[in-house]
Amino acid sequence: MRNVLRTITAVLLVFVVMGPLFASGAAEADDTIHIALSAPITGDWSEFGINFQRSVELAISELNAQGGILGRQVRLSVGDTQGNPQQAATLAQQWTSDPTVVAQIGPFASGPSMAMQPIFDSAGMVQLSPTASHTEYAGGSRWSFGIVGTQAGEGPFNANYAYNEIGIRNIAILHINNDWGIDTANFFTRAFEGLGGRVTRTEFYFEGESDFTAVLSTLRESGADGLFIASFYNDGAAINIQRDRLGWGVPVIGPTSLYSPQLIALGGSSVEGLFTGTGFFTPDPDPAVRQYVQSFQAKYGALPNFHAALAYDAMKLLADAIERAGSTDSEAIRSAMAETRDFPGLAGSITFTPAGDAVKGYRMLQIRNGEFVVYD
Amino acid sequence: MFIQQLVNGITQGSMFALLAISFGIVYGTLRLLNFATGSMYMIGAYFGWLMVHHVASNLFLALLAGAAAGYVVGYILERFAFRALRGVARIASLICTIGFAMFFNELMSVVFGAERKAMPSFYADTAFVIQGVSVSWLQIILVMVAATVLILLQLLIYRTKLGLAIRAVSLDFKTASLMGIPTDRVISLTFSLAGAVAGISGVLAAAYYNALFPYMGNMAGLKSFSAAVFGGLTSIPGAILGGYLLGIIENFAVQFISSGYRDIIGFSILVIFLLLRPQGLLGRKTD
Amino acid sequence: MNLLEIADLHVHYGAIHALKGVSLSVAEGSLVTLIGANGAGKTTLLNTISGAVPGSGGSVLFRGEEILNELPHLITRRGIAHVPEGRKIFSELSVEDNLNVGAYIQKDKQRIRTLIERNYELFPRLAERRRQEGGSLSGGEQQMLAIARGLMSDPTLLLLDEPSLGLAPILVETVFKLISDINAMGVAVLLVEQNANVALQTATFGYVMETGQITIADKASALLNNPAVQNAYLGVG
Repeated sequence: MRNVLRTITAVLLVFVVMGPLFASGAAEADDTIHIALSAPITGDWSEFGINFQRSVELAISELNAQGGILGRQVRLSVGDTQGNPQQAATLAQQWTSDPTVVAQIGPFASGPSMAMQPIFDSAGMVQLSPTASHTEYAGGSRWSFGIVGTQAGEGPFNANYAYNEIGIRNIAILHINNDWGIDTANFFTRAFEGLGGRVTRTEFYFEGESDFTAVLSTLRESGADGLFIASFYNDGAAINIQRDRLGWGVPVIGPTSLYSPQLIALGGSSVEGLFTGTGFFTPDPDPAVRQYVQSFQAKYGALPNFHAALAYDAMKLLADAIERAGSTDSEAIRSAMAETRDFPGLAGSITFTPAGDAVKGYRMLQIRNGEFVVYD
Repeated sequence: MFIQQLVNGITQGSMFALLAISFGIVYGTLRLLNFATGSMYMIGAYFGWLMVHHVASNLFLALLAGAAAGYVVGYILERFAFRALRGVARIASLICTIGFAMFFNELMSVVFGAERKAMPSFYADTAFVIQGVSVSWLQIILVMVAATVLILLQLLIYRTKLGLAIRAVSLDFKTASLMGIPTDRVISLTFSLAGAVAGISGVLAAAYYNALFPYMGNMAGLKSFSAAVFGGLTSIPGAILGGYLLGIIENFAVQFISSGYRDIIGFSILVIFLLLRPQGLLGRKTD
Repeated sequence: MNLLEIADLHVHYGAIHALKGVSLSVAEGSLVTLIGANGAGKTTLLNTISGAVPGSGGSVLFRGEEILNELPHLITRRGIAHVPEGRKIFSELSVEDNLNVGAYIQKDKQRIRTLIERNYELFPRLAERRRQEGGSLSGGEQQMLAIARGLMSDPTLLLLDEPSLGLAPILVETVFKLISDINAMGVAVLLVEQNANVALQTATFGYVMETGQITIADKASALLNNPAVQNAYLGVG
């Protein structure tokens, strides 16, 4: 009995540790178009990764229902980065050593994206990240593309609203301590100071933190009349709950990453009045957006967010580029991708800069009576 | 400001102290570092949340549910990570607890979804204001619950026959069995108790931060391991002291140095104590 | 029927055959000693009786019931107390708590109190040091505490493993006097000793063990006069 238990335990451990390696789809010898998706399916970022997978699978089922790409059905392999750059690099090796993989979508964060980049670059495979927005990402390789828009565009947009529309003059900044968070804080700071505003204090926190009371107390002391948070909506909710509890009532503004129905679900009354930019807005009357929101909700029982919409856009854009290229040749796909002009994405139209970044337009939203509304 | 950070530190320290105790009970009895402590905390939070959402919106019932869930997880861990591996090198058990931590994290993210869940506010009204810093009833309850659990554990271990058996097993389980003590049952119970304490801590954290998610135990588990080493892994008063001191020191570090130093300080304490005073502040030099 | 009846007992430690068909009996209320060289298997035999080491064949009957390979704590409940080699005091527990652990199987608080008082009469030194930690006692005091702790379960059979080990000669005498007194209270004793001289003078019956087998079994007084025993274990001749 003891040996049986030991064996079970050992097998269990092997699965837990090796699980991600088994995640890729089984190879099928056929004429399908094989797309790879890298996303943090497990780990701290898994809720984003799972939304990636949902959106890309939704997009593929729509494409296949309409006859596929170049008349061929699309099949997807999903690999788990666990949000970890090392794991992401291993996945990139796996994709590039599989001759059937045509192009890769993902991953989620800038760090893992940049860890995968050299491998795709030397193998010559298109890397299309729905959300990597580090300013050095897309420019790092001619094979890399990003569609979220960079903080170089978003920072000035947010700073302009904070200074001119909301009327904040002295702002405190709290950001997550990763590539994206640092970039977001830096571009905002530069733009806000350029307008004549003052940043009273900048503080950061590490991924996985749940206690923000101490850092908020410190920021409050700095005498700010506004707070900019470079966070995702889950941390954003926690930050606002604790800010509210401290009784620190200043206007709060943050980037597109805050926009999610979950921000309101988690943050409750503490996020009332919060400002956030977005390129995607679920109540958008645009028919394409409405159809996507309805399909997503019907299939998965949850509302999509900005990141989910970007993953959907990435898959549809890739399909469009392959159609335009007329073949699955890597170089042809890359050229077609680079030539993209005004692709109608759900999260804003996409045109690439020479570096491979998308130029996006944003809208400012405010939470009023527990709902996101367009701020005017 | 000083008062504010002190209040923050004590609140956070209560949760650290409970988790540090959970580490300490298992380590003290079995000389095993249970790295699935954070998972017991997380699972406790989920069962507290289930109670609030599906049965009754009551913090104290949620705490009971969390304790019960932690108790069961502790039992499972003892069966598979410890008893099944008896006679194998101790490192196998330690690695197995890490494996279980990953297993439970992924299991909960599959079953409940990876996204954060909202825990409603309980007793959020201000109890009193001290130098402009308002302290909520929840914060008072949090400290009281932690104190009650700590006192009950202390009484259990030092004032009851079962506690005497636990202490005897922790000192020499072979000889303890010659005294007629059912060592397997005592060890299993110890694990379960550690689970219950971690589960309570998880529910308190979920209530205080109004949120829970499958990975919430990772950082909390590591921090409280630091706190336990800080105070002395084999000493319950040490774990309590370590938990509160760590909470307070971290919060002051944010104010006086920078928010980035918070974790650095926490883990520096771990490294320094492991190197210079492995028995911690109150632990005894044994083994 | 004997209190303890061991027949053809075998124990293996992996490839090592430590006990090779040992047979031995202890009558109710008797004082039996088992002597032999280091490594002969004496401690293994006691550990097998108390369940700490699994046996691979044969039988151990206690009051006519098979107890071989039962869990140690259940064997203790049957009335066998094992005072292990090296005393194995709970060094961080007080003297009195060591005694309380020994009384783990006792349900009646009054009974525990009585047993503790009886021990304090037998071992006055322990009464003086009741609040001290076990680890702070001298070697002789620790041995007394180990025996006293064994008596707390109120056993009918006491297994003693090398009680004289590491004690000054004057203390050895004291300890053996106590063993006689305990036996006189009606507790059967199986005493394992390297100090064969004192052991045989105290016991009524003796066994000699060599490399996992019983080679001689006789009255203690007869063994004292047995030339083979004298040569090998008593340092005579």
